[in-house]
Parts: sequence; structure tokens; C-alpha cells
Amino acid sequence: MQGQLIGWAIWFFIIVLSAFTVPFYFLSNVPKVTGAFLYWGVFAIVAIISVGIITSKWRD
Amino acid sequence: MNATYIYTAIALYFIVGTAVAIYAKRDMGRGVSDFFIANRTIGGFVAALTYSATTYSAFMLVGLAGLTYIGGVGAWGFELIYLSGLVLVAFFGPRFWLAGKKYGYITPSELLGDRYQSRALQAVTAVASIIFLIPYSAVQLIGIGTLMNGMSKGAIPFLVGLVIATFIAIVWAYMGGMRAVAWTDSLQALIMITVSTLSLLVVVYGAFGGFGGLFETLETKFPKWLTVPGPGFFNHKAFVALALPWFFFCLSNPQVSQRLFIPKSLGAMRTMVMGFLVFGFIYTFISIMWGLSARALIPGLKSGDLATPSLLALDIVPVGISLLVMVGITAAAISTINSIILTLSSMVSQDILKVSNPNIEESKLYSVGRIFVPLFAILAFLFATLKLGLIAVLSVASSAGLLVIVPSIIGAFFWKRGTAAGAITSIVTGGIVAFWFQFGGVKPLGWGPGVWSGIISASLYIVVSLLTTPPREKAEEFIGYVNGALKEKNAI
Repeated sequence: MQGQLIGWAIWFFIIVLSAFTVPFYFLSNVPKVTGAFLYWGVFAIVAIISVGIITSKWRD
Repeated sequence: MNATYIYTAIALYFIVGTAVAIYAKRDMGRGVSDFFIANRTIGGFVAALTYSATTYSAFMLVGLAGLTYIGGVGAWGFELIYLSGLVLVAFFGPRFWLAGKKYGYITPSELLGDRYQSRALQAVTAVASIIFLIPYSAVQLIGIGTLMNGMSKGAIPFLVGLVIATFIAIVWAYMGGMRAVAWTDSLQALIMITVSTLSLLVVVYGAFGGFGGLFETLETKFPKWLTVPGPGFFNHKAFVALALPWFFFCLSNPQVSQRLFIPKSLGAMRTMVMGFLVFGFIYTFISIMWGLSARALIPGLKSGDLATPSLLALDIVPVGISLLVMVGITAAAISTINSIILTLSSMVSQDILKVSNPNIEESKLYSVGRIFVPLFAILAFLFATLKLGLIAVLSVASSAGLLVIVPSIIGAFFWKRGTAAGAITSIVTGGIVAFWFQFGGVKPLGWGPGVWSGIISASLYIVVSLLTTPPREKAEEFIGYVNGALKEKNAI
């Protein structure tokens, strides 16, 4: 459990950090819907799926 | 718009909501747990909707749409980073729920007070929440007053809008506590998502022929609005200072974290979390598209706050849709206000009254806590009528101000060495810094209060804890129990 917790924490740290940086440093010159808009949308969907995987394992 | 239409729509909304509240409270007992957290019996679907309606206020279709109008796609990133903060519930949700059930916590402050063995910490956390959340509620009321006044072209006075909103918030929360709030929130969440989806489709298909048309217009005429910093509002430092405290919203704001106590099972909590995430993603998309549509259709507005009212006034939006959107925004505001006043009332009962007199009878805690529902609503109303600049500052500072509670929450579950002195110092000093920086416009190294309050409170929590003695026995027992129970439930 401890290993899983650390693994997921690192994963979330990476994707959240990317949401704070990638659109500013790599997509600031892409004035298209396929630029920052798409990146943040995909980031959110990845985060939602990740939370879905974690919560699907919970037992009542 | 004719004021009669608005009064009729609000009256219908109130009647249906009250019927739902009466239905919801049918099995309600007279205990504090029953009144404030529905005895931990809320099912997943209702929990998801109350979580959504409590979290999303009038800010979305008015404030966020306005931010998008001014700053472009950065608003989408900011709000989705906030939504992704729910990853914290994947870690802390089961911990709150298990500890709440085992030790009988009703408020998040109660959890902190017991874990750190400090009544002072419990009271300090409750007072900090009251200081920052009453102005936040007042701003919601101001939003409703302004919206009704603006849509009726002055026929509905600002004060009448405030009175209507305050009255509705009081009736539902006072009548049935968490049960009524959760069920009316569910109704309101459904209203919010339905009318906003409908109105967006009307605008986007009416004006642009579909989303492809809207995106094409933006790419050709307003390309800057699809990048950051884009038009300039969302420079990187401003973005971080805004988004960082909101990432921790699900832990820092007690009206939201208290909802981690209410699901009837972990399965219900799973539905709550996933339901909220789907709701949040759709509602955020709608609010952002709303702001971008306003930019493409009416680019000359002086303020972002005018984006939504101006869009609703366009000929392409039928009167009926405008009316529904107004009800949707009102529902978003009221569902946030009544959840806040209920949570703050539970804090008065459990974290102030019970702490100052541990032998007090439960019936008294229930009665006094319940009386505070209208009292807090009236306080927010009075603040709203004053329209003081200070209210706006406190409201804006609320996310940075409440962020200071987060290090103590994380430490409660993960760091046995954490102490009450460390927690109190970090919350009090961090809260003062958040207010001072916001009020004085102080930005050391260009970073706003949302960054500094977090850094200062986390540092103080660690340093002061290391210099003081922790409640070892309680820490061992508490963390040991939670970790053991997590293993049984297969939660990380």
C-alpha cells in the first residue's frame, strides 16, 4: 500500500506540474484549439481516469 | 426582462425546492450528527450532486466566464487544475471517512482538535473558517442581488434580491439540516447543469452554427485568447498564485471537506467523487465556452463581469432561456451559501460551544447550532448590504486564507511528529499573511498571497512542530487505526 501511495503521489505530482508549466512554456505560440485548450482538457481527463482507477479498488 | 417573470420563476423554484426539503427531512432526528451530517447516511448520487452544487457557485457562469472573456484559455487551465485537486480526495477521502466514523467527528476542525489533542486548535480553525467564509457567502448574495437587479433593468431592487436569496438559504438549511441541504443541492445541481447546457447550445448553434464555428472564429479573430499568457491577464505568476490555493480547495474549505463525512459507505464516496469529476468537467467546459462566446460576439465590453448579462441580453437568446439561466445562477449561489452556513453553524456547535463546555447536553448543542443557521445567513446579508471593499478582499483572500489549514490536515494523517503548536502557529500566521498581502497588494518576488500563505504556513507547521512535543500516544493510535482500516478497504 505504501509503495502504491508513493507511486500515485509521484504520478499526480508530474501531471499537475505539467498543467502548471507545459501550456506556458511549450504551447504559448500555438493559437489553436489544439494547443493549450486541448492540453488542459486531456490533462483533466487523465486525472479523472487516474482517480477512477484508485477509487475502483475501494472495498465496502 | 419583466420583473413578474423573474418573481414567478423564483417562486416556482422555491416551491419545488421546499417540497424536496420537506421530503428529505422526513426521517430526521434531533441529534447534532443527524442535523449537520445526516448521520453519515447519504447515498452516492445525492452526495455527488451536493458536492457539486456546494463547490460550484455563481462564480462559474459569471466570474469564470468573465475571466475567460478577459484572459482567454488560461481560465480553462486554472479551473481544471482546481478540478484535478480531487485527486487529493483519492488519498484523503477514505481517511476522513474512516476517522470520522470511528471517532464521531462532525466537523473537520473536530478531527484536527482530537488528532492534535488541542481544543485551542479546534477553535482557531473554526474561527478562521468563519472569518473567511462569511464574506465569501456575502459575495454570493451580492451576485444574486446584482443579477436580479440587472436582468429586471432595475425593477427588482438590489436589496430585494438579497432578501429573497437569504430567505431561501435559511429556510432549507434550518428546516432539515444536511438532509434538506443535500437534497435541495441535488435539485439545484440538476438545474445548473441542464439550463447551462441548454443555453450554451442555443448560443453556440445560434451564433456560430456549432462548436466548430466558434473555434474557427476564435482562431481567426481572437487567436490570443487560445494561448497563455495570451491577452495578458494570465501571466505565469498570476496563474500559479490563483490556481495553487484552489488545487487544495477540497481539503481547505470546510463546507466541502465536511462532505467527506456524509457518504453512507466507501462505495457511495466513490460515486460522489467520480460523479463530481464528471459534473465539474462539463460545467467548467460550459462556463469557459460561455466566456469565449461572449468574447467572439460582444468584444467591446469594459469588464468581464458584464460578459454573462450581455450575452443573455442578445436577441439570439430567447427570454425563456435567459430566465432559466438566471434561476440556474441563483441556484448555484444559494446551494453554496446554505452549505456554508450549515457548516459554520456546526462549527459553532462542535468546535466552540462544545470545546468551551465539554459536558454540555447534546440537545443544547443541536438547538444552539441550529439557531446559528439563520444568524450566519443574516450576518452574510448584513455584510452584503454594506458592500464594503473589505468584504471583497476577504472573499478573494478566502482561498489563500483557508489554504493555511492544509499542512495541518496532511500532517494529521501522515506525520506523527506534528504538534498543535505547529498547527496553530501556521494557521494564525498564514491567515494573517494571506489577508495582509491581499489587502496591501503585497507580492514579494512577484508571487501573490496564494503562494506565500502556503509556503509560510507549511514552513511554520514543520519548524514549530519540531520544536515542540507531539501527542505521541494519540498520533500512534490515530494513524495506526486509519492505516489498518485503509488496508482492509483496499484504499491507498
